Amino acid sequence: MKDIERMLRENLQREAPDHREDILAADPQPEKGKLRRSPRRWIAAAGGIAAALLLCVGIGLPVLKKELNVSAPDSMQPENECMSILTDSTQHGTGGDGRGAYEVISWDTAVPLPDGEIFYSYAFTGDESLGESVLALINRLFDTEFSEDIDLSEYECRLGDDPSELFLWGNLDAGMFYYQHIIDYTSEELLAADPAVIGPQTEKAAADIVEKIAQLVGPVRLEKKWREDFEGVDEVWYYYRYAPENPITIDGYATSADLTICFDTLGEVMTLRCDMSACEKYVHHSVTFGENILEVFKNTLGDVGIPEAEVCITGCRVEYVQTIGLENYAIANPALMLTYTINGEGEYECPLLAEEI
Amino acid sequence: MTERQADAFESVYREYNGLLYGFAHSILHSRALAEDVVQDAFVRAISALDLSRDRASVRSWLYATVHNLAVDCLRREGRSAGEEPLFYTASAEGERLEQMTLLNEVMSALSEPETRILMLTTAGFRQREIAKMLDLPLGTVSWRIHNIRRKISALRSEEKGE
Repeated sequence: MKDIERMLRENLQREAPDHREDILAADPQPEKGKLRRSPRRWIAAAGGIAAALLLCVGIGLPVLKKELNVSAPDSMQPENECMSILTDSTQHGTGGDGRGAYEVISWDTAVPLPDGEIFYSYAFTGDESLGESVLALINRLFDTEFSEDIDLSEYECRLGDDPSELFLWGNLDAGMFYYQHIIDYTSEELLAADPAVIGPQTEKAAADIVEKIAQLVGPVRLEKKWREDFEGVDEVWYYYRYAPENPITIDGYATSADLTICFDTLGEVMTLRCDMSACEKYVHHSVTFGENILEVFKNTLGDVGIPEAEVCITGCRVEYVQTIGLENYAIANPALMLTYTINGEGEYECPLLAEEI
Repeated sequence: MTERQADAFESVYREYNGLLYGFAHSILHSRALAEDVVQDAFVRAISALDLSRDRASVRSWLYATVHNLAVDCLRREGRSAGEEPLFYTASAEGERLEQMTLLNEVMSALSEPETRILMLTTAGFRQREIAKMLDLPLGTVSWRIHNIRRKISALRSEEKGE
């Protein structure tokens, strides 16, 4: 990435049009300023005027007058591109379309669709019987045209700019659907303490975190999935698959989680991600499990040289999921929302699937 | 404009004109509109800002202004103002052509939010600053930067493979 940034910098500086004389010649008062526009703009503008004149001939002067009545630019307010709506998720229900059970969890982002309908972002998980039902939902939500035999394993969906981003992977052929809900544990302040710890000891620090998990939830089988190093960047990402050897079972299904640990040796950001995942089986996550994970982070941060960090669970509430909008998907299960802060800042939420309450 | 102001403008312009142009293009996808937005931002900067003050705050001001102007422009022009690649390669050749082609490929491989973030990291903004400017959670910025690296890495691997 560094070499791309360098290349980008050099090429932009060389290729970007130079208008400094026009800028200096412009009246600095914005209302009176007359900028010399780029030639392409003039051509476009000339074309527009010509078109307007033709229009005038055809339709008459009042129309031209209207065409030229261009409104002033919008105020310089930052645009909020993603409409975020705090949901008052009080509706709930369970059920199915008769073809299999699945769960939906929801959080606080609503996404306006082109047809004006509002869909709440959500994640879901289910078993092999999802089939067309989920696919239809995916297609509708993400404007895709997947057929039933598509391998979605490389497909990634993202909804909105909510901290809780949604990623979807799946393989319907294999009868498996998988969602991954990214929960961020990120704070620049977390690294302020001692960046030197991070880097040479990343392996150890990662192992420590895993060890803590093991202590809390029992022996774990940790499969290191892969490690990514980025050219020219002192940043290492570790991907683990966490699976208890003696799984916590709820309704006969094992809990599981993916743990992603990022150590940025530049000292800017460390990210710990616990991706609650559900795959292969219909999975529930208990609130205890979530609390344990948070506890691990809380305890471990100090051990890797971040003594100031305090993860504090500030709330836990049950949130029910809205009906999604498709008749057949009026399905919802309660989700537990853990609210926590890091060093007293932020108000992060950690949605967890819960057993029936 | 005093000599001191003119020097300050010259220095700021030389450093940021291209970068701001890239940032504006990442929002507008139109070279002409990006040019206009950057020009507007500099005209405003001359009247509103002491360009000789500390460089970090000048940079932040310029980027925030370009962002706002570009968004305003996008509203006026419609959501898809253009689809032009960042670099115009027709007249380029040799290494320059290769680089610009690669950069255009990178830009098209990235999502729009990722492109914006790449432009900001290129300008030296830290993740926290980017999060604030784009009104995104820090974790989201961090994750997107991760994705940018992954995509660039994949692109470079493909290149080497060929």
